Amino acid sequence: MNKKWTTRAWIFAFLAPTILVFLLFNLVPIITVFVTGFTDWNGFSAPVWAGLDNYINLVSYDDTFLISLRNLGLWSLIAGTVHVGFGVLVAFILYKRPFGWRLVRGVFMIPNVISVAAWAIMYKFIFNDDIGVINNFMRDIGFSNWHVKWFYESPAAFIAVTLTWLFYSVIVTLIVLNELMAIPKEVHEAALLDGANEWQVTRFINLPLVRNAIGTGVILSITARIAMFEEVALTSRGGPGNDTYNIPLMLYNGIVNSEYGYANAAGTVMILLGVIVMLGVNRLFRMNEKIY
Amino acid sequence: MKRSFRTLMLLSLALMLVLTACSSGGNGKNEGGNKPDKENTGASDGKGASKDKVTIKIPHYKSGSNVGAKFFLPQVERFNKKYEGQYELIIEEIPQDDYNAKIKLLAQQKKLPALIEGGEKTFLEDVVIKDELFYDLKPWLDSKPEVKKLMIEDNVAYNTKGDKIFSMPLITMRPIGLYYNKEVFEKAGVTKPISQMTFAEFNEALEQIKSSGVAPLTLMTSENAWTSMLLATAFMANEPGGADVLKSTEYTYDYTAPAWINTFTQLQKWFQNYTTDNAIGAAYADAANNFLNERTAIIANGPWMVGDFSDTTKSAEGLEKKIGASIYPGGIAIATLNEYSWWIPKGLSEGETQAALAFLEFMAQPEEQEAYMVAEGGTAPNLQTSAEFESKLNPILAELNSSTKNDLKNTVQAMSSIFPNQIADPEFGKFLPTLINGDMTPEQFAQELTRKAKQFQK
Repeated sequence: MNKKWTTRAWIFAFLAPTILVFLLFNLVPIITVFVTGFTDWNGFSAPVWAGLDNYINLVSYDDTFLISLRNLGLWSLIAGTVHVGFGVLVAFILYKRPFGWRLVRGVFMIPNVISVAAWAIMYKFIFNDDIGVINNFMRDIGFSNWHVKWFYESPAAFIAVTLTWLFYSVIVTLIVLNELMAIPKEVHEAALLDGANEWQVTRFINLPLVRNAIGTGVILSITARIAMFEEVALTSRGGPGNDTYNIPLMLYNGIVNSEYGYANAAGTVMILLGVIVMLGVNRLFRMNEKIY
Repeated sequence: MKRSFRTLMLLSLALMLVLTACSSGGNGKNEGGNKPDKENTGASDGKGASKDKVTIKIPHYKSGSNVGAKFFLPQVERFNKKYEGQYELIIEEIPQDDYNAKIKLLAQQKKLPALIEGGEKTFLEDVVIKDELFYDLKPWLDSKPEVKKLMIEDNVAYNTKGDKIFSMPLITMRPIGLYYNKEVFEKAGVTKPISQMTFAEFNEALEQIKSSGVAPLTLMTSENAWTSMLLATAFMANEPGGADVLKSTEYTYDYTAPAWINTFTQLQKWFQNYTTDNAIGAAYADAANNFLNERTAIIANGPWMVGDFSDTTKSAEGLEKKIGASIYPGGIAIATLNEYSWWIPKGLSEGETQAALAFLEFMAQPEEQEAYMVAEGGTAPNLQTSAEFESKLNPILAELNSSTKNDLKNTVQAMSSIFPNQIADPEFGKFLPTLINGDMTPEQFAQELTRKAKQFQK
């Protein structure tokens, strides 16, 4: 047994549990979702082959799918720019280790340890017309007739739903901060010896070197928008009308109506969108290329 | 080397397949469609039921702070006391909104509890009844003539599926009316009883109440828009052809008829002119809070709300003395006899089935039915109530009974009973803000609801 073979065997041995778990808990359900998406299935009786009916129903029944796609597009754009940008900004600030940086890092983490459902309910109060801080603040500063029904008016509902997640980007911060801390000291020393100032080090060294981490953040952030359920279901419920509808709500709608084939067609679309996002961002950020 | 690597890969794959196969073991077929699960139901072995105590554990929403818990939990206690050492019923608390979903989930896992109250109509009819996953109550009811004679015939007929009886037929029906603040009415100069008004007169009364400085109606859009939906139901029952639609035993998928459009138009006006600022987005708790704290004058709701009027943790002090009860303008009461009640899944052990039947029989006893009506209102047409019954009755419920007795012209089902699930909750409430804000006309609202309803129509 040569060294190469031994190394491969060890790699495989360490990967085996993960592969096993992936097969059991991810791949099998994914295949089930994909296959049953082509069936008429109420979750109890045997699925009956229905061809593309569920997909046709999903995409063309009314304008819900188009609205959901439009919302996803906008949310993805906001997530990939503002949400990730904010996380990266915080990471770069924390990297400088200003006074209290550890506290800020800890506090920034708090929203992530509170369930999304709890946040959604809190935001219903925050945006409440009678007792919510937003509307009361606006009335206190002089807009006495300010009565925005945040989750029940257009376009306020879209803005309100967006604000429930927009600034909670600690995962992006942690990934980028970790990558920043891994930059070899020599790189910075060489740049400083060459006369680079702080801005130039940040712009031309640090930022390009954390490209992969930012790309990972973008992938995580956009795929979270594809799967975003509680933030919508527990606040605007996709309304008013269909204004804040998204694909997970369409999936949920299928389940509630015992249309598991339809729900799984929606699930398949979500998986495909996730894969497209992964491949696209991978390419955009050239994540397969070596940085060092 | 490559060959050895491939061998290792194949061995690993084989191991995974073996583990996968093992993980799916134990899903044996179950004849009755329900697998008695001791962990879930807490049931003891039914074979020795005559000697061993049988414990059944069921999830139910009439627990915790739910309005129904006030009567139901003590009733369970009374049952447990009566059958001490033989049967025990344990209630697992679950929010009302999650109950139907939980039952569906347990059905999929073949772990249905021994007793279930109702459930989502489509699921019950398309799965439970169609696949006969229920315990047929007919032979048992035939052996209990003293119970059977109390039942409301229309509900027995509704529950009869072929030669079987699916769920325990109702003995008591509870007409849903409305409550109003007498003090506010007096101040506004509204004297005519609501049940004797037409809706035109009712709208005039709303205007008078509004002029007196109180928001007349308690409306809401969240959840299933309950209080708004009830008022809309009563209005529609007065429209030509409306009552017939509301009496249907099937779901209605088209809301574009004039009766619907007129109802939506009226609903829009009520929201725009006669309710509180927080009605858009208000859930039941917000709506009830508005009425209980005298910010509104009228709330449409069932008799189960009566207890809240004297509960000072919820209501203004002394509110119960100011509250009047009535059926709706035009002499309309809302009640449904087309509903499913308690049922038992097929495939339980003998001990569990007997325990479940014992609870159904316990609830059907005249004294329990009477206690139920005293606590939550209602009428039992085939039950001879005791001499003290009337005196035990809450005065507000007595007023509702009197209004029903004197002015009832028609009884219809709530609109939500003929809406398919996705319309009842969430689509009706979700589209209401667009109607109220004027983003949709009543016609567009009707068309949108119709489109949503038809999406999953079988």
